[in-house]
Amino acid sequence: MALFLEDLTKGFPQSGFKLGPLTLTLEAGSRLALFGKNGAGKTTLFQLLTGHMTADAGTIRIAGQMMNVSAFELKKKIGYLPQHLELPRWVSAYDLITYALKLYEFENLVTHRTAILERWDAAYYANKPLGACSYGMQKRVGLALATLHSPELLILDEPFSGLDLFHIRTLEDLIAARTADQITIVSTHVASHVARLCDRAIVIRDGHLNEIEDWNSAGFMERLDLMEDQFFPKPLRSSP
Amino acid sequence: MSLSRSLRLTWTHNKQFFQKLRYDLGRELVVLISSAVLLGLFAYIFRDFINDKLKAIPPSEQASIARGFATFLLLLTGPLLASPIHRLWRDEPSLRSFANRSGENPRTISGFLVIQTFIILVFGFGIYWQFIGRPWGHWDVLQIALWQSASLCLGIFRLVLHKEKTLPSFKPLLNDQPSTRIETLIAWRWKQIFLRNRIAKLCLMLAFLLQIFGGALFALKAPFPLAVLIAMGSGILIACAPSFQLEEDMRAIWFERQVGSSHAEYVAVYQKICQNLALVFGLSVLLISFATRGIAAPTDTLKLFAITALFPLLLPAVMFQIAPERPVLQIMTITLIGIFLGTAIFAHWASVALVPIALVYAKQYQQNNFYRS
Repeated sequence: MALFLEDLTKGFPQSGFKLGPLTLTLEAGSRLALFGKNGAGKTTLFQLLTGHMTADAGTIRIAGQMMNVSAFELKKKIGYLPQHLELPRWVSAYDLITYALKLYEFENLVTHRTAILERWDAAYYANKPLGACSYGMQKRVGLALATLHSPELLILDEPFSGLDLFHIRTLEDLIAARTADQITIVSTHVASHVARLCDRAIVIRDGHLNEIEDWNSAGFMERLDLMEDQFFPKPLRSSP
Repeated sequence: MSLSRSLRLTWTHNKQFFQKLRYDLGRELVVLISSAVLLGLFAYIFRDFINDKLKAIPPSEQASIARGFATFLLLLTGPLLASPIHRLWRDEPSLRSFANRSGENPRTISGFLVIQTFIILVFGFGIYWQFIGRPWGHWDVLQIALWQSASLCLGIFRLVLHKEKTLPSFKPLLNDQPSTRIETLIAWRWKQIFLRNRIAKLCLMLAFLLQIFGGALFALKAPFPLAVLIAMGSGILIACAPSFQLEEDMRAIWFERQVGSSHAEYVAVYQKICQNLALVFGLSVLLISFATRGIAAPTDTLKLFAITALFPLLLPAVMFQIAPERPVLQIMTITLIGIFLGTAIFAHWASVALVPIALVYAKQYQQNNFYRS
């Protein structure tokens, strides 16, 4: 399992924003942290990676296959949590997870569903309409949907927002337990969430990718500094 | 309280509508021009035919039908206006909540809410009286006061119902038995339409009641054009149910795309659902007609079946044409095309042949729009 981007480009004539050209290689087992200001192009990149949007130029190759909007089988190997999570209002977490398990063709639905609801601490509101659940509750259902099939490529856009400390720990454990043949990409504005978990970090700025070079060899506190340096260069930082 | 600040808030609130219109201008213009062309074409082709049919109905009966229709729409206007009023007072986030958090005087905000509510009522009822009430109503002052009050009471009743919304605990929607992918996709929506989606359920219930009402009129040997109008009304209501479900689906469309749904598969799912709805409600028209008049008028009965079934069948062909997440737009498009084809079927049963041609053409036109919506 590997992911290759080659000269990937996407433009939006209405707003004048252009993403790319982007070139990137992620080997199996990579855990990538993606940082960037609002509007830098993170969500657009994820929409392209998941085949929800068509690129203007360039290629995306995942596990040896080309990703595009028609790559329906390849999409099933991906797990995606969007930043602006919208779920159907008139169904419950129980219903939605059953639906997902059936579409991913799981056998023994009961065992899997029980395990997923327990993992995300969702059993106590499993039969409530999702429209009546809090943001944090819905986020856990979104995370369950993105991860229940152990996807080869997992893309999480702002996964920690809205989660309490216990569920942040659950998510961190899940990311840490990803196997050596799986790829994980996490976008967040809070470096401490990913400083322990990710072995690579990239900043997306004005539609281009800039790798943080010393990230892999740095320790936890140094990684926080490295991330801060990207947005607040040292001479400009105000001393506390 | 500052009246000028309340008015300023009202202006800002209403400016949002014009901003939205400006942002969506291209799409709104397409809708407007397409509707105008379709209505113009409809009037041009069927004017003589409709006038002929109208002449067959005695003027007194025409007036009472028009008055009944105008009354129904007036009673509907109140509950319809309750929805934007509820959003104005309760929605989060909104200009009201923003002003509240920014430290605006609560009385100024109340002033804004009252002015805006008044604007909604005047605008909504104004349109009604201008285009429907005055030309078709022909009521005296007492009747106007009575029906207007009834409409307002229904609106208030709907607002009260909004407040008392309770949170149910759901029974499982899908069973744990193995099923194919397409069966799962269909069952997921079919069961939501019948068991969960409140507005879809309401539409289907109203469609059924309208059919029974039509059956009663049919039994009383009311003019056939009236039965056709009722069949069209119930057909539109049946088509509303999957349109509202589609709106609900579009909220979480990222997930449908994630599980590898293709445009063809998604449209096929809605096609199956709409075919089933058309069949169920079409058969119910047949049963009601045969029960009330036997086999006295088989051609008329089959025409009613075809007209009722036509509207839901149109949805899969138009669902990705403009904006699948906007059910009102979908219903408007379906209504326009349905009235056109329905009138052709009413004129001659052989016009049923037009339906598959229209469906195939429309489906080709929206190809692959699932990933563009």
